[in-house]
Amino acid sequence: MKLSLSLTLVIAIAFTALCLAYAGYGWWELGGMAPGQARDDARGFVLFWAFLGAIGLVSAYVAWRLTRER
Amino acid sequence: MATAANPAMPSSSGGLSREESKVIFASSLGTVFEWYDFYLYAVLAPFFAALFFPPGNATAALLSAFAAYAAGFLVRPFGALIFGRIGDLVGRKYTFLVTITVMGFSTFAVGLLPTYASVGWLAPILMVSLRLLQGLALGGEYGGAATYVAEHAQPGRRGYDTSWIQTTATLGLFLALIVIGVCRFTGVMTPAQFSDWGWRLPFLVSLVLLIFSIYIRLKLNESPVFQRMKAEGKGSKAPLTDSFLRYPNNKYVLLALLGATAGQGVVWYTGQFYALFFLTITLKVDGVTAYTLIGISLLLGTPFFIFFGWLSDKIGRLKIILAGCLIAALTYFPLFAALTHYVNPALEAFQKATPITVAAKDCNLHIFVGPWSKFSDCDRTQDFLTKSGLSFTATPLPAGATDSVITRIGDTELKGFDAKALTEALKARGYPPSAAKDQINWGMTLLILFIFLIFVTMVYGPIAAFLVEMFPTKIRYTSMSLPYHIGNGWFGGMLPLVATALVAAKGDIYYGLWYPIIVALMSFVIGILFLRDRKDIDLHADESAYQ
Repeated sequence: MKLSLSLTLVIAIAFTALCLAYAGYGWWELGGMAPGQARDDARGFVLFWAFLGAIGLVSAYVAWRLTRER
Repeated sequence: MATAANPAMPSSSGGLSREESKVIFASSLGTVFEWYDFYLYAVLAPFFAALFFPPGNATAALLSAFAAYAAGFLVRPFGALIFGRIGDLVGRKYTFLVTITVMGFSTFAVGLLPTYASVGWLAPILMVSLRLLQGLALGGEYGGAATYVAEHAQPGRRGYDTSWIQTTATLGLFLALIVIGVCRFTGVMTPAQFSDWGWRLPFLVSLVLLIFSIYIRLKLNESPVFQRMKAEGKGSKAPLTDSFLRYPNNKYVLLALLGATAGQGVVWYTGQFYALFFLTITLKVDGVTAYTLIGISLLLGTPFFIFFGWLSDKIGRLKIILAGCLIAALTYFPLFAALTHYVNPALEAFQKATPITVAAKDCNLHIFVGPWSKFSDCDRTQDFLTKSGLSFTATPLPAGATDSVITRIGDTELKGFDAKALTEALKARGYPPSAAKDQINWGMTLLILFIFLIFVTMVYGPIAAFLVEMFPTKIRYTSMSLPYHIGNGWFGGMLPLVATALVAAKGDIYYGLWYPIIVALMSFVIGILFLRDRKDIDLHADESAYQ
């Protein structure tokens, strides 16, 4: 049974999915925004959430390694 | 040094000795930090979110600030694993020193961060980095504190001794309330100054707490149970493997989470934070009054952490924790309804006299708002009503209707979304925009908040001793940290988000309570079926005694 670490893995995946979904949706919507400061800011938010998603991804990977390697 | 066989320790019937007091006090400082920072961040996020993200995106900035906070929660289990492992291998004392130093520094450093105006997107990235550091350190802190105190406690006193740690969560809240209160409401600075730079002060003040904590912890000795285990050569060479991948320890880690800490987490957050949100956002009580009410209930309820810790030494921990989960789950609906009745009777009367229906198309649930978000008239109407603390019934649009949303407030029908028209329609029907102080039944309100606190003390007071007693010495630190942080950080921490989404989706101001009720009932059922009390177990005992 590796359920405890698996739960951590699930949470990390959920967090990653949430952040990347937010970033992906924002990226998709950028096309509909007129060029300018607002669009630049929106792109910044997209990248920031992608960064958070990357943290979630690393966390998920660590949890996965712990469950697989032992 | 205090050991289980140390005559300097008091008998089980005595009060706390100096050595016990020192151990408990030093161990508890980390929990004070945890809750001090938790509350600071949650309350001050609206102030610094605007400074760390591009201006003109208030909602997206606030969400991003909370997402950064969530990232800190995400890494807590890894902190529990990393520092738990170090604690089980090297010792409790040195792990303790590292966790509190990292935790204190990362809280303090938030007060020094440059803003978006100075360094652009580097500002929120630095903030996230500090949250990650703090999350890691926090993950290792609580398990260490509970283990350290329990391993110093006399037999028959573990519940009582560890319950002192549990009171410090409340102390952390008080500390945060006092520091924020002094900065915001005593006139030492203007609201503009507070928004501009004053929000940094509460974070910077944590340096004092940090220096004090390190000084106290340097004076501690290693846990006697851990020393004995080391001397006997019975330590685990691989605490992570032993904790999570070796049966039956891994089973107990999971059962501790689902049968105890998950329920404890949601009851804790409902009793203190959701109650506060409900007072301010739903019932329209002003901030100072709501903080005062919660503060008084905390003050009245705090001794019960000790009481239930003490009682758990007599009758067992599990039945108190599970009784707290069950009673809370069964009484949340009537208690929150009673809270509405006694805090804002005008709102309750308005809601009874004025049925509200929303017939609409194109309704979406917006949990994560970005600068690109587009809101339909239905979204705006539902958001308006939810933020006004009003329940409504969603109905389908009549056939052939040309408007995207038709709101009926009593016999007034409004087509489309118009905040001004909605406000006027509500006003005409006697909607109270805020809770009138002279209509608040202070005694009954405090009684209900106090009852919430009693539930909190029932589940939280004995939990540290209960978790400590589930696992043998060689993997104790590692094993108990993970369920605690997932239970509190995720099951409890998700409560505001899930509850708010449920309320908005269903149009019922009480609907969000289903989340804590279901989780608490799950813990009750799993706990009663699969967990057993070990209040009299000898912490020196071999692994076989824990199976």
